[in-house]
Amino acid sequence: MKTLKMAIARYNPEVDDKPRFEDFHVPYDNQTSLLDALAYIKDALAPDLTYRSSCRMAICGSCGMMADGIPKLACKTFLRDYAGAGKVTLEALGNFPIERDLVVDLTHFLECIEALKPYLIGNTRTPADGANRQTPEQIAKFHQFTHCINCALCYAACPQFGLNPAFAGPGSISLAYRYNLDSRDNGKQERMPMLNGPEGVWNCTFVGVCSEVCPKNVDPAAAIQQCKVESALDFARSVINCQKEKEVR
Amino acid sequence: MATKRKPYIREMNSDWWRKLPYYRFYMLRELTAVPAIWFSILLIYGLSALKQGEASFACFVQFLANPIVLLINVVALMAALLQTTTWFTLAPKVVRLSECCAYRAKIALWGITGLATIILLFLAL
Repeated sequence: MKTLKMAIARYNPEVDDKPRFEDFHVPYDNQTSLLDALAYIKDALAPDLTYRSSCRMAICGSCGMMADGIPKLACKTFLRDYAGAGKVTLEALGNFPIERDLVVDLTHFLECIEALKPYLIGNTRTPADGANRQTPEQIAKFHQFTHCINCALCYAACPQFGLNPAFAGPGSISLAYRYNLDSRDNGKQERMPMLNGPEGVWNCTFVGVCSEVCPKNVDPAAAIQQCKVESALDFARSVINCQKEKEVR
Repeated sequence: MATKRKPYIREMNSDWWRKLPYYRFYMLRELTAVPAIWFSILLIYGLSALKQGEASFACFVQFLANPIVLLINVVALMAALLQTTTWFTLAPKVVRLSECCAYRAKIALWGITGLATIILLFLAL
C-alpha cells in the first residue's frame, strides 16, 4: 500500500510553548480522507493526537483544519490529492486560538452567531395557522445561505478576521443575512446595529477567499457585499427618519 | 483544580499576503489604486495646463510624450483593465443575480465599456 508523509502541528498546552511539527507516514488508497488518516494515526501511532470530528460526510462542520495552509474539511479532502507533492502539512484552523493539536477555540465565532440572532423573529403565526407559505422566488432569495454548516473555514481564510479578531466574520454575517432575506422574519432591525457597527460588514474588503474555501458553496463574500448595500440603505433611512423627527419637534 | 488551558494565538505577520496565490492576487488588485492615483493627478495637471493657455498645454503634451511617462501610462492602463476585470466579475454578486444573469451582466458591462472606449477614441482622434 502507498504511504504519504503527514506533518501535523502538535501543541500540548501542558508541555509546549508553541506548536511543533511531527511527521507520520500513513498508508492510503484512493478513498482515504484526511480524517481517515488522522483516525489511523490516533489508533496506531499517536493515541494522544487531538482533533474534532463527527459526521464524516461534510455536514457537521467539525473537522476544519489547514491542509498545506488552506482551510479544508478533513472528511472532504483526500490524501490522493497530495500524492504528487508526497507530503501534506496539517495545522489547526487558522486565525483561531489553538487549544490542543488540531483543536481550536471557536468561542468568538459562536458568540457572533448568537449575537446576530439567526432565527425567525417577530413571526406571530401559531401552529394552528398552518404552514407559513413561501413562493419559490422568496425561498430562492436566501436558500443558498441556508447551506452553511458553521465549519468556520471562511474565518480561517479571511485575512481581515486574522487582522481584526473582533470582526463578526463571514459565516455569522451570512447567517444573519439569510434571516434578513427570509419573508417569514421581521427581525432585521434587531440585527442591523451589529451589522452596521464597528464589528460588522464594513470590516470586509472583499478579498473573496471565504467563498473560495467554503465547502458548501455558500458564497459568504456575496452575502457580506449585499449586506453592505443594506447597511448603506439602513444608514440613509436612519438619517431621513432623524431629520423627520427633528421637523416634528 | 486550576485549568490547564493555555490557548496558543498565532501572530499574523505583515507578509501574510504572500502565503497564498489568492491573497497575492488580492493585493495586486488593491495595488491598482496606485496607478489610478497617478493618472488622476496627471489628468488634473492636464486640465490645469489647458486652463493656462496654449503654450502651457503644449508643454503638457510634450510631457506626455516622454518615454518614461508613456511607460507609466501603459502600466496604468493595464492596471485599470485588471481592476475593471475583477470589478465586473464581483459586481453581479453585490446585486444578487443568478449565475446565468451574472454572466449576461458581465458581458453587458464589457460591451458598454467597449462602446464607450470606441466613442471616446473616435472623438479624440
